[in-house]
Amino acid sequence: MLKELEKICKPAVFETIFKKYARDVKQFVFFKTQDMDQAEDILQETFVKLWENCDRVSYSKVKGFLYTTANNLFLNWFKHRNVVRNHEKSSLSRNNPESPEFVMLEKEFLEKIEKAIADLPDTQREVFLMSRMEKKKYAEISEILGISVKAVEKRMHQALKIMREKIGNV
Amino acid sequence: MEKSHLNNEQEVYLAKWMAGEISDAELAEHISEEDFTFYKKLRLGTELLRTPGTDTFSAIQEKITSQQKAKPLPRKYIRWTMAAAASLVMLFAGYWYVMNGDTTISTTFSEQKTIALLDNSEVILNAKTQLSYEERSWENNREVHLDGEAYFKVEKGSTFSVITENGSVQVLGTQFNVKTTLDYFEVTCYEGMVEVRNGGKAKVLLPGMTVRRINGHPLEDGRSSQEQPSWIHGESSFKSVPLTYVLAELENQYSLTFDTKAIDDSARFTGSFGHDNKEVALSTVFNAMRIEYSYNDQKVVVLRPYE
Repeated sequence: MLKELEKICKPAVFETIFKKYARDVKQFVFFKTQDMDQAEDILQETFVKLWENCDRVSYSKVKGFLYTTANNLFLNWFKHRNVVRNHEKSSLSRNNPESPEFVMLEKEFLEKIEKAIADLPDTQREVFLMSRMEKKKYAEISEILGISVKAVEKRMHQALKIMREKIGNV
Repeated sequence: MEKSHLNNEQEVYLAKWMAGEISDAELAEHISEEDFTFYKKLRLGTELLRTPGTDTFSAIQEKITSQQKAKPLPRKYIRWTMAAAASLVMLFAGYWYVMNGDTTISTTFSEQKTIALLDNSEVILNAKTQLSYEERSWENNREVHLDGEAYFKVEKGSTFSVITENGSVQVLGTQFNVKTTLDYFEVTCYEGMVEVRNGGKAKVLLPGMTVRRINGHPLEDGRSSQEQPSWIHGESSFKSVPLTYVLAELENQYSLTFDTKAIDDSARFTGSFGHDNKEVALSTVFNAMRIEYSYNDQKVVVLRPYE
């Protein structure tokens, strides 16, 4: 533990930290911004800041640093956005709550999704996870599972319908 | 909520929409507005559940390098900056080339070893096992070669592969056990998802699923209710396994040699033996199999069927 200060400055360790926290930091930011692109930007910015401070942040303080930084970046963005909004009153950005495109996503909904995924039949769950979590194309999945693309699509379609029924109205 | 024709087996528009193959407008033709809102939330939600991948990480790396260049700095910092930039280059670009070559880790009789790989993935090796990987290409190519038995806890990230003589295992998720000795090959998934490739066929295992192949026979499916392989806790378990592989495991754990001329070593054994007491282990296995054992001069264990 003596050398723990230097450890973050190692690319391999930095990447491990990224893999460990990136998802949770992104979720944390998303629930504030309700904007996926913005959440992604802030996430990237947060890790750039961590790298810049890698010799000053001890390993045990990484999590706190990430959340504090992400929150500050969010507040900056929020202030800036309000300034912009006031300037151009008729702004109709993609994440404008009045726009019909906008969907609001709460933490509880994520928990429901996780539960619904766990409850899916095995054959559907593996397709669903490979498609949505591993970002594999249906053609790739069909190759791995040794079934037709059509069959993969059917399982995916069924999985989505079942999840709709399980989770119900939102 | 749903129109009846939606139950048609051939309909896959939800799958197509998720993959971006049909537009929002096309999907909206098939379903109610409520459903449409739901699926948009589901798409967004699953995106949030996903661990950001290499695309995000390389975007971060790019920002780091470009910011390092772009910042106008006072003169006195320039030397420091150059040093920092140089070390950055060293770290980011040259890191993998500094350490090169294959790394091999092996265990001998009755030994177990826990090792941490470069990305903090953990591997526990059972006795008489050899594992090797290439440090240099690890970042792009998480691949290990295995002979013996090992339990893997893999950090999420790019694909992790275990290559063996008997087939390969590709990891999509996290915890699994691979046993590959002689012509015995067995993979059990404990967490996440694992893809096993053997003889041109691929099979995906979910937690609790196990698959094995003995002596060139087709793959057999099975179930495991354990949370970890039993050998980690000092016990080897077998479920209807030919005796010859059980003897191989006894040899690995206790550094023994068996004389099997008099017995049928293809008989199947179900049960387990501990790794801490040789005599108890031997009598457990051989009583069950109705086999007598005795030591000869060369410390060879001679096996005979019951009279």
